[in-house]
Amino acid sequence: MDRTEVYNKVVEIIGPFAKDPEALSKADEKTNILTDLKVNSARLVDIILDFEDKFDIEIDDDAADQIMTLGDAVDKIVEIKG
Amino acid sequence: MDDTSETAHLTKRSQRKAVRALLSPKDRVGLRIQALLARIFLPVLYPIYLVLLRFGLGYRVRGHRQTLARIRSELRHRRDPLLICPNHLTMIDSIILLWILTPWWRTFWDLRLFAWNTPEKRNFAHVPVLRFFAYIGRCIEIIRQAPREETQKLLARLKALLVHGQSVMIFPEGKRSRSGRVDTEGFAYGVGKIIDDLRLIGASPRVLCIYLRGRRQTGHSVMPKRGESFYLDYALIEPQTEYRGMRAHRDISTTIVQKLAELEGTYFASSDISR
Repeated sequence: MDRTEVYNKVVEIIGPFAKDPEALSKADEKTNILTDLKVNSARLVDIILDFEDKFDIEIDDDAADQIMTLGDAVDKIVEIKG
Repeated sequence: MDDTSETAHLTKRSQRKAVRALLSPKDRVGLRIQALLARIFLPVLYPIYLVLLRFGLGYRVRGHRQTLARIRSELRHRRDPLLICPNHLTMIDSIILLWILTPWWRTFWDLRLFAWNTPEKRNFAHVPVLRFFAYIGRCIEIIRQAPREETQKLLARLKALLVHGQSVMIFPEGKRSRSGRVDTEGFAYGVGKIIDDLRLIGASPRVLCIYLRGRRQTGHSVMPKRGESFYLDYALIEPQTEYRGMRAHRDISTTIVQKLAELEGTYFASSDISR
């Protein structure tokens, strides 16, 4: 799975949680998940768990805390999947 | 001391050591001073809450004494960490619950159910008098979406209080319910994290789920209506989970919120019957 595929899947997973769909359509790797896409911070855990399920990986608490932007999410997933 | 009680004693000591390690010396001293000042001032200041709620606002709770006696009886035999998790409809829910759970005369020596609270700093910290009452009233101020280090510090303080036999009140929904019903979709998982962390160091935290609702309360509000009569129900649970990490936090938080929703179901069923 290349970086673009991972990015597209990340956007697809975050979609239902984003309160600003317009921001999501214009998003890039620098887009902040909480502030730009207006995702409720409590839902970030659901998003991380969805990443785990959809990409078949495990993301620990410390790694999850470092995910702020779409790019951070893609980096972490690519790193874990090797 | 027999083998079982000695083991329990050692376990408690290791739990306290484990959470103490998470706190800085400054935090440890700060908590001790706050606890001490609360113990000294609460018996004097608490009647102010009492007079205001009972006589100023005319609040009353149906079956108050019997419910409180039942809660105390269920809690009597174990001194495990206790989280008090109520539903959340008004901005003074925690104050009303402190009044309900701790009669004035008990503040002289028994603060087990006078829970530590975690109010949002922005709601009160700009008014010095409120800040003073919050400090004496055992509040640990929080900032929503604070940096990770601050959140870790807050969690460490709460866990330290819990393993030392104090109770902590946390609204599992995270905010006042906008629908007027227990929010079973948009709740936070912080309470699940605290419980899971405590379980990992060998503690057996229990959760006192409380459903409190004014009979005339239709949605969320700043305060209940004057002269309100409250319905009160509770369930004491020890949430278990087969998961680990964030999945465990979500699972435990879900169990608590579902229990509150169940208590709410009982309230509305009984309201339908009484109409």
